Amino acid sequence: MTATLALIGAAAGSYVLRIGFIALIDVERLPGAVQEALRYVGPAVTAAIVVTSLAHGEGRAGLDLSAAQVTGLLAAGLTAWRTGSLLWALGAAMGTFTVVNVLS
Amino acid sequence: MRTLVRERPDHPAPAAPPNPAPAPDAERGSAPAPSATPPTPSAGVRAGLRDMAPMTVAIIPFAIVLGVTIDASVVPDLVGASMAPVLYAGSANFAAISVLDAGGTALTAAFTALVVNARFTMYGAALAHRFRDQPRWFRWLAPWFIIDQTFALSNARAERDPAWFRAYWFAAAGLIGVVFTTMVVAGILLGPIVPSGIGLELTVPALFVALGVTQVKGRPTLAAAVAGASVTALALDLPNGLGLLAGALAGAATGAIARRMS
Repeated sequence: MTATLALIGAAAGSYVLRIGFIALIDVERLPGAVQEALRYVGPAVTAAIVVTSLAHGEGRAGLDLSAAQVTGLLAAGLTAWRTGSLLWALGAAMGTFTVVNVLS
Repeated sequence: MRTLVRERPDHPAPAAPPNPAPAPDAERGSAPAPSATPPTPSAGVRAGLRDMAPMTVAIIPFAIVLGVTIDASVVPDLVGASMAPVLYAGSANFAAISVLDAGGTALTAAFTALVVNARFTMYGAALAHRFRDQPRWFRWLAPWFIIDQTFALSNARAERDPAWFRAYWFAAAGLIGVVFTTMVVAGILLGPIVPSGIGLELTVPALFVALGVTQVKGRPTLAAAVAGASVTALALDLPNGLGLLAGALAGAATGAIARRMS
């Protein structure tokens, strides 16, 4: 029962967080500076997720990256820059990681 | 294999109308034209599935690990499996289960999940303009599916036709939701079936690196990304994903400041 209540509470609360500025509060009523900053949430969050996903919940200690990881991420960035394709970027990252991991 | 973000140079103004006025900043003045494909709902479905496919591949290891964690925790398997589609947020799932497994109350677990999901408020605000011209039912239903992936992908899309966007949104959200839930159940049933050491842990950061590269179109967006990553790294030791929230806020503010200075 505890887990079920937690699930219901978390899901209902998360829905309110998600819907707040879409159906409940007009985002145009926010101060101009906030609306301006909202333009840059996308790149800021994307970069932030890169960092948190590398750390795997281990805090800053989790950012001790191997050479294979670094080169894999570089390959992903370069491939995305040249092709604009996420799938090619994913393939380049995994391939580079595997090769460098085997060689090192 | 469609290119993703070439048609979208920067984040649109939240209050942008369906046919937005010329961009006020120089960055957006160089905006490539939207895709030449007619914005029909079927095209939206295809685009949503195509864009979300690599994201979906990337979250499979995460979903299986979540399933294994549920199986090993005090949370009943059925409730744990239900969390994937009902809560629709993997990180919050992990956080809630870890609290419950440590003996926490339902209230504590739910609150922890909400702290982890606090960023969705920001995503909703940033996406509000995409929902403004949508029917009421969509504005009430669609936000349920706001997660990192649906936000990042739809934020990178220039198409503004309401029917196209609805089709795109549900196709993308449906695909990742179905696959994620299936893989969580697989993790519960089959245990740790993913071999280690083959770089699967790199899939999510690699995809977001790629997405980030395609989002950076000028100094303000570059400043936002650098500040977002830097502050998140510095704040990683904060609990419950607050580091990500701090980084996102700092990055968005830095982008706005950089635009005013440029």
